[in-house]
Amino acid sequence: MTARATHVQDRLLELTYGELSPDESRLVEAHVDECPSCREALEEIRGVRRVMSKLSQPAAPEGGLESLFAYAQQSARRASAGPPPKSTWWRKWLVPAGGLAAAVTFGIIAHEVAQAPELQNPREQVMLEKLAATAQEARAPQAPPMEMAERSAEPVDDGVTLGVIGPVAEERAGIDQDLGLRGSGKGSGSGEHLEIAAAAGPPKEKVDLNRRQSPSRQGAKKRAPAAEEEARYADKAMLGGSKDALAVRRGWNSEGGAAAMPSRDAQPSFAEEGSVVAQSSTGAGRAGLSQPSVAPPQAPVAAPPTSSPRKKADAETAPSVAAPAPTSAAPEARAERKAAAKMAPPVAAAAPPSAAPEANSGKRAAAPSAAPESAQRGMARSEIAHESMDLGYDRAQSRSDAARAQAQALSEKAYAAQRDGSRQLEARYLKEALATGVADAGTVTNLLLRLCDAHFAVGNATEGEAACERVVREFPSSSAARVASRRLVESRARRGEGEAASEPATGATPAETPR
Amino acid sequence: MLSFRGGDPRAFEQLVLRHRTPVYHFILRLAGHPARAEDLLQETWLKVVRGAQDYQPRARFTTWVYTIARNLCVDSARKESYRRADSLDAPLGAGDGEGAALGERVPDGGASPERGAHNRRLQPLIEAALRALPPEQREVFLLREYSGIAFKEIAVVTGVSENTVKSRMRYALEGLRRKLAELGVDGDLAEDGRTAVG
Repeated sequence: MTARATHVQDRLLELTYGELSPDESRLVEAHVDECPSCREALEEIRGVRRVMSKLSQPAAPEGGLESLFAYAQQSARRASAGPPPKSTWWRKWLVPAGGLAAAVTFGIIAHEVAQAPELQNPREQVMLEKLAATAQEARAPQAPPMEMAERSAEPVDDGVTLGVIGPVAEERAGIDQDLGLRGSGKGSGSGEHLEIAAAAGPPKEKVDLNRRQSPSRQGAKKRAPAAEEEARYADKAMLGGSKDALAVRRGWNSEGGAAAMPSRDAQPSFAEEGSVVAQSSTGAGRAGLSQPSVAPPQAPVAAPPTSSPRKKADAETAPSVAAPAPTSAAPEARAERKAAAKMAPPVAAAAPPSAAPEANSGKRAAAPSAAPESAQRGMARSEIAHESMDLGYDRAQSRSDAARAQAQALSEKAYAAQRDGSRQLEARYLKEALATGVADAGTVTNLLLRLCDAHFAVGNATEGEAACERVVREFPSSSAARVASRRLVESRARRGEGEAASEPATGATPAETPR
Repeated sequence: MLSFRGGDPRAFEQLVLRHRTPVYHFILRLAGHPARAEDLLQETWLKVVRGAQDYQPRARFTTWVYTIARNLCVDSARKESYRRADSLDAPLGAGDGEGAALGERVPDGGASPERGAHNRRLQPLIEAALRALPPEQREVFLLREYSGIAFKEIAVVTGVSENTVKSRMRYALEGLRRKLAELGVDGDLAEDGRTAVG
């Protein structure tokens, strides 16, 4: 088919379907009249159309019309209500970005909560720390703390803190020196120093302590309740004489666990605990391993909390670090710590001989830190020690855990002795367990009650009553105190002192309990 | 359509009532299956509703509707090409080879008994001739012959040039003429000489 023929066919189609203008239609029709082939072609088209027009056109089904109209009506309502907001790029990313931001925020908060000890369960945290400390102690019980050396290299930028911590280092130095005289020469007593500093410090000083610990609120939070407790007991110890001072010292040794659980475990009275330790140690006469006390035991008694001699002593012991101290409370605190350090020697007498090699805390506690040469060396090492306050706290807690573990071991021996019928040996083990400095209230009350029973069993009513009285005095609100009171009454009734037996029981009320 | 887009649902109802039968016929003859044609018709109108906000009056509404319907038919044919499709000529009776063909069951548009009988005889032949056309020719013929869409608009619907549409139309008419001649049907069978459109 030529191009012209095609063009003619197209025109015929357009003519057939009426798509030509009237003028074009007339021209094509004129051509068709003169052209037989085109006329024949046009007839064929019209013939086919005539036949195909017979094709039936079925009506569209009615089904779905209602739903279709309802859908259209709904769509029309939406259209009349206005166009939907255009989906911009930021709208598309708003929800995923918001979700991502929420997830990140939640993760950060969760991480912070996991890192913040004050938001954790204190008991759980203490357990975790104790486990870690126990593992560390088991690996290297005598290893010197490398962290301390590292921390000592850190720059000191807080003069207040230096002023506060200087005496602590001094005491540590003294204790270390004493340990060296005894041939130990290892380990750091920074744990005690920390508690001493906290105990001797007035509230203002505690604020300074917290300031220094601001990067690590954990230590400050832990030390805060412990410092209050120890401050009370330190005052009491100084007023109560060397025996109570010893108790304070023992309490400091075991402060770690109690400070970590201030709600319940911070209850034990260190003074009374120390008194029992002193009794047991003096009775057994097992202080031979410790250095004899150099400082007079009555020194703390004569030392008032804010006496000027103590300020002078403080200035002498830590002149370099005390100079920039901006607070006036710092010298007092240091003086109190100094006094507390002088209280340490009685601990030497109270230290149990069975403070096995792993009982570092007991040894350190028994160190007479008031020795003159120790003080001199302590001054020289104070700048190292005051940087290790954080580590010292951890060390103290570790030692407390070690003491607890040792006490539990001795408790097991006591149980074994009880099963063997050797109540005397049981009492001895129990005394040794108490002398480890364990501060956990449950452990102490358990040991004391068992000690009470053991003494009663062997007929030593005086010792038994002393143990029971200690329970009543130190844990007045506990169930163990009620048991102890009952045993006291029974014991005294047996001794014909039934009338006087009710007094300790009434004295078990918290209001009357000496604090 | 512009009224409907402005929120008048009755405008859409009028559009549907006006165009639904020719659109259905186009779909039915192109898809070849009444049930499928019904679904495609419904889907076509749903697409019209959904696309109302995007409708631009650059072409006639019929062009737009048939474009939608044609595309749906093409997609359906592609999907159905993987299946076995019933033929309009296939007898409904299974195995006996007798019974009315599917095309014969398509209702007639209404006619006198005589003409009805004539058309009943003629329908299968016409449908067979139409079905014999290639789809691209059939759709052009359907749009031009029964839906009254101009060649220019058919070119828009099918996406080809107008000359291609006219060429396909010529081939479609020639093919129908030959097929009707084979089937023994010629233009003389038409009683009144009318055509479907125009």
